[in-house]
Amino acid sequence: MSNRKQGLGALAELSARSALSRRHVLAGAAAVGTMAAFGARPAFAKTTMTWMGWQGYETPILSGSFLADNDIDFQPTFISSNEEIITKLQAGGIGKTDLITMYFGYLPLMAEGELLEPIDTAKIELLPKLIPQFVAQDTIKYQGNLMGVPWNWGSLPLMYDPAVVTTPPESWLDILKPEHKGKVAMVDDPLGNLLIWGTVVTGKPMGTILTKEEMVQVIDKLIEIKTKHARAFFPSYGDMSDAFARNEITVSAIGWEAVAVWTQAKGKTIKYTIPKEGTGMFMDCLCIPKDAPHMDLSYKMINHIISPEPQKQFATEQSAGITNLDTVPMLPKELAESYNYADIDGFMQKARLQPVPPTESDGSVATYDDFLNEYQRLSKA
Amino acid sequence: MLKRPAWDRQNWLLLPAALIFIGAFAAPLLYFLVISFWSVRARIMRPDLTFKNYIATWTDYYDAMASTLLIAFAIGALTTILALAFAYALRFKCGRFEMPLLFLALITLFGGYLVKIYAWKSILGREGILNKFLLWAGIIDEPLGALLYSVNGVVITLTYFLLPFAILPIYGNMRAIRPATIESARDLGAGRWAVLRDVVIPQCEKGIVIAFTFAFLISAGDYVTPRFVGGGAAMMGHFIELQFSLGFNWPMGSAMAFTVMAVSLALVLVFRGLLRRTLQP
Repeated sequence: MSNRKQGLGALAELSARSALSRRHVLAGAAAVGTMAAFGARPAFAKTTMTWMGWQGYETPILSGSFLADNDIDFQPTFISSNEEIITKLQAGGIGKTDLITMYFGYLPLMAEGELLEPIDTAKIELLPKLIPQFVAQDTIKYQGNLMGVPWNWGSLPLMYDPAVVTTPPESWLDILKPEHKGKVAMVDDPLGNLLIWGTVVTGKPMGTILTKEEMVQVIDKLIEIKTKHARAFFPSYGDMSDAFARNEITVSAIGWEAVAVWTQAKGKTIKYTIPKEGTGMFMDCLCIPKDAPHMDLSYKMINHIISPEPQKQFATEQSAGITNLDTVPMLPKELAESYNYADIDGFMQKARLQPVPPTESDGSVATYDDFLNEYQRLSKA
Repeated sequence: MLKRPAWDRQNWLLLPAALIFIGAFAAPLLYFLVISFWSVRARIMRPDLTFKNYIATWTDYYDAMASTLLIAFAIGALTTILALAFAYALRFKCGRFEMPLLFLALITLFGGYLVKIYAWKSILGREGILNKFLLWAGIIDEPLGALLYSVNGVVITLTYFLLPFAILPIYGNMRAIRPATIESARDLGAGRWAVLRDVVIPQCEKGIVIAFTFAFLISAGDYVTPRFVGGGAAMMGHFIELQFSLGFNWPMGSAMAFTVMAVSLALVLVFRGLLRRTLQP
């Protein structure tokens, strides 16, 4: 507004001092109008940054004054499955999305599908501070490049309602006991189901690397659970949490530590345990989608998310595992012990990081497409 | 020289709407039709001219397609029958309550789609309102589990969601039927059923077809409701979604979508033909 007044005043003064033609006055007025139009805008418009991830994963981004300091208008899109990100990127999200958080197992597939930018490790200042076992995973590298930065992790434990199940189940197969018939929760998490039941059915430590025959056996077992024992095949972990809160279910065939936090917020306590067969482990990575519009800010955001204070806030609010070792001493003792930061290798013996099935095979191992075809059998059952 | 008719110039006013229609509807549809004949190698779409996606749709998904169309047909039929009954009661039986009841039926349109789904989860659950009522009334001894997370849940939820859309066209047709026409039929000796079959339904034919088409097509394409209240009752929409996401196979997903679309439209045309033939005197 002040720019506009100054412009009009200057024009009046100029008009008084000189004899101006009508054409000159009109030209001047147009110039002032233009000045007013542009002058009324703020000197620096905020940068809109688009992010995709699970609800709650935005916690570290909102931590502190990062967004204000960098004039960022943060636009989150919450997902109900990792696969949704792949769909959204393929359906026009490329070139418009600045940052995503993705399950590490999908990174090779996404890299092959040209959905990701390789990470410039020189721009990730805190990379040496991250848990080395995670950064060293081959799965997050593609053609020699790092494709994602590990930032949080957890396991897929068996969840149960302690009001009904007084002793923690020792085996995943305990959920098939008659007392749980019709009260078992399943979640439509394709890879999660394979991570757990691939090992339970075959006894192999890597439940995702199976022969075609073994893959069929695993899906047969899941179909048996779905058709004979499950209350429902829930579309998301949030729906499983709702069902626990409404006393629809007593045990689960798959889990996630965060479900206990969400269910507690609804006034219902549920517990979780890792049965003797072990379980799958997940590790989510921060990835930059192909042609991200604000590349420098994307790197800034990654560095912020993996810095100690935002990591601490995320870990405590979501009961999640984090990757920056400098954060561990800042965590509540119970939380640090539940994730066993002191013995990550030991934890990874019980809960294993597993890749997705390979995209190509000589026939000895079931491929990702074989898995998808089999999984659709489960969906149809 | 003849003066050009005025409507010709006015047609230009339709241009913005036409451009939006072409850009937002026709062009994407054409794009998906074209890529449905393409193939995918190493997760990348390759321009091609192959029918293998359409063949795979029929060989691999015939069972899912059949169950999807069966469920959609059940929802379409149930919704249309309920809408016909409601519209008839409104028009001829409710007197001064006609408009308030119509308003009540239509006000449900203001609720969000997901809100309705979650509301039905609360109603149909083991500890839901319906089970509590049935227990209280002594009708059942233990909660019914089959109301939610089953095909029943999908049918109930979608029927509720689609009912207002089905009521409107049928009620619109019924408004044109004068009560005197019905009275004349009764005076001439027609019973209630004869009046409905020979007077009311023939005059509501278009409304009935529109109502059924709406309910059937929306149900056949829906994949959200089955996921939330179906407890794993997967319909074709779910498998199409899988191809677009995890499968990285847009050509296959497109072929599946066009196949469902074509079969659904064919069934609607058959329904319309059968209804017309049935209503012919």
